Amino acid sequence: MTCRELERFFVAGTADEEARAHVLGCAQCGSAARAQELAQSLASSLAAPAWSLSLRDALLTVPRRAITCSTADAWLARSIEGELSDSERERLEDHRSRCAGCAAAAQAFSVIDTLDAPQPAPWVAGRIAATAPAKAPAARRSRFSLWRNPRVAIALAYAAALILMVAGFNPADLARKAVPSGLGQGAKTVVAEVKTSAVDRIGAFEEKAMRSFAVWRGLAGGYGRAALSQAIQLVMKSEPAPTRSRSRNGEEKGALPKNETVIIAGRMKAPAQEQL
Amino acid sequence: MDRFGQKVYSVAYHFTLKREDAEELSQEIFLKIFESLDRYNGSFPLIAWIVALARNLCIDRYRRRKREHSFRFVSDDAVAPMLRSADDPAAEALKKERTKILFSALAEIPEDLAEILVLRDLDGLAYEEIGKALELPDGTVKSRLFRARAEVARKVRERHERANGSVLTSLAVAAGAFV
Repeated sequence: MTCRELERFFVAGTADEEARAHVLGCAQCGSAARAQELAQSLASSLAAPAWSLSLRDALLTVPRRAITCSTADAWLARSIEGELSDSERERLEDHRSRCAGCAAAAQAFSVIDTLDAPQPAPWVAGRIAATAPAKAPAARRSRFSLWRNPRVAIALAYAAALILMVAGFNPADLARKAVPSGLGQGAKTVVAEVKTSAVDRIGAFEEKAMRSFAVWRGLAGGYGRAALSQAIQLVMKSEPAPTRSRSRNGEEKGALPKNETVIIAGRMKAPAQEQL
Repeated sequence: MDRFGQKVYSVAYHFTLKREDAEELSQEIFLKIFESLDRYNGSFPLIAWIVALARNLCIDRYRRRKREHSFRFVSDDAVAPMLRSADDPAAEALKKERTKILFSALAEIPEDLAEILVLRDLDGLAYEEIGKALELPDGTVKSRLFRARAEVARKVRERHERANGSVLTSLAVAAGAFV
């Protein structure tokens, strides 16, 4: 059976003294320790390989040549729009050649250009033609069809009104002037009587309305005051009476002192003892 | 740049063992680092994140290289950049031989063990950095490192027993280790 105590010491990072003490007493671990030392001595004597100045210069240019994947995404979008310069396109291609993910993204976009429009099945065209309504023959347009259009008629009316107003023509003023001068003396008398009668009737109606309003206002005020008083009384009545409990010294709790008078609703009430 | 550049080149070189490949791979790694910077959230050391990126690229190369031709043969040129210049030619030759043996042994052990030994003993990464880069707990990193060293030592011993050459004998004497 192989003793793996030395390996256990090494993995656990136990102090060298403890491991050395075990190695002295264990032949297997002693051999393993010598093997470890040999391998370590072979490797540790080697120097790091020196890098050349040309490699150093080449590595210094890497930041100017390399782009990150997120930059590549942005540049891919720009390249689709044809906005990349030659050097940018070269760097993007260089990045794609090493980055499988970005290469796949670029391929996905390049596929778009190669796609054809989906073609319908042969029977679809016939079905559409069959369901489309038969085209009615074009009606012959009459000469006045434009004037019968409501929109055109309204527009013309507005235009005519505007022209008249600009020209200083007021239809209301014309009517006011035209009526008296155009009527005879009899007609004028009739018009004057009608006007007088109408003024009298309006005045009488107005006076009646004012009187009715005054009466209603008085009634409403009276009823309102009465309702308010009633409500106050109801509220006062609804208060619960104080509960009376007997105190230790025989006096009723909540009872008034014997030598005090009570005023209730404006009436003076003498204490109970004086009444007796 | 210098710190991370040297580290990235070192990681790349230890995987490829060829200067041209390592330089090309380093540039590729750096490009990948800059392209992925917006994904680095700072939750663990930057060097661990860089090593994780480098490792993914290196492993592809490493496996390809392993498939293409035997990784067991390590040339003198491959180990030369890792050798410190020594005044004594004999000592330099011995060191070169040791390095070749090490990389040959690394090629023979499982990949998951070899890469941890490289990252720890050659690239000098901390256990935590290795754990973050490889997404392994520290205990697993240490355990694998222990086994990797044991495996490398075993491979070296097997070579020695097969060859029984004078160079390996002197290597054992120089290392002051195995019988």
